[in-house]
Amino acid sequence: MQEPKQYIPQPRVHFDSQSESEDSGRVARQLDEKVLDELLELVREGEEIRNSVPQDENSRNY
Amino acid sequence: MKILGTINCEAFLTGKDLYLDNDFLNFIYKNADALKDCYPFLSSACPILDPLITFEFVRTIFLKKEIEVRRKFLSNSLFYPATNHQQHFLKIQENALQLSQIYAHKKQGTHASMIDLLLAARVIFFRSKNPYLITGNKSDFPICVFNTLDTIHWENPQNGNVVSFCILEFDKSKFELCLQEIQSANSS
Repeated sequence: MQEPKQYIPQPRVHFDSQSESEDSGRVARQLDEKVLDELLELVREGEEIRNSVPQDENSRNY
Repeated sequence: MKILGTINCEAFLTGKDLYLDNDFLNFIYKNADALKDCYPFLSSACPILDPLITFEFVRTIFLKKEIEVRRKFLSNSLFYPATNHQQHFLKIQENALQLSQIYAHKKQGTHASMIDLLLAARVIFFRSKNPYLITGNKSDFPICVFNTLDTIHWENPQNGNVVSFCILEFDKSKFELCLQEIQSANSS
């Protein structure tokens, strides 16, 4: 059985080629207020949860 | 208007790929007023979540209910998930290693976390679309490689405190100059 080859990263510079630019294709959108309302509802839920735990149990993200 | 400043963020960012640092993501997640004020420019741009930023956003959260809420937040249609291909990651990782050498040589950004380093490396990799990055900690994305395009100042209506975030872009010319300087240091 062949030994797995170890990958050791080299300090090199890579830029995306046309075939790699899968992050493209994003376009400006017309998002309606419903999207914001959904987010605000989650913000409210998150705040409720955070307020329900004692401060000293808070972690970095809290 | 709680966003202070002179630029029209909405016009400036329309259609732009905009990578979000975790501090900005937490800022809009934890503050409804901030989210409402930032929403117009965020919805006009293409806000992108790097896989490691989504990891950072949920790490250390030990309450299942909050993990669920945060996951729903990340899944909202406002955000675009960044690609997460192994082939990309190998290249991003090598960019990050190169970047760490530049930071060390320039004595800038040396306190950047691994996640910030990899986020910067991703912005560099996907440079063909000239993406922007928004962060509250500019020192993690130093001036030797990144240009500050503008800053957004947000005044908290509850207490008047002002929070600032920078919009940055990768500068290929400065980056290549840094590489040349490292080459020179090695050949002397």
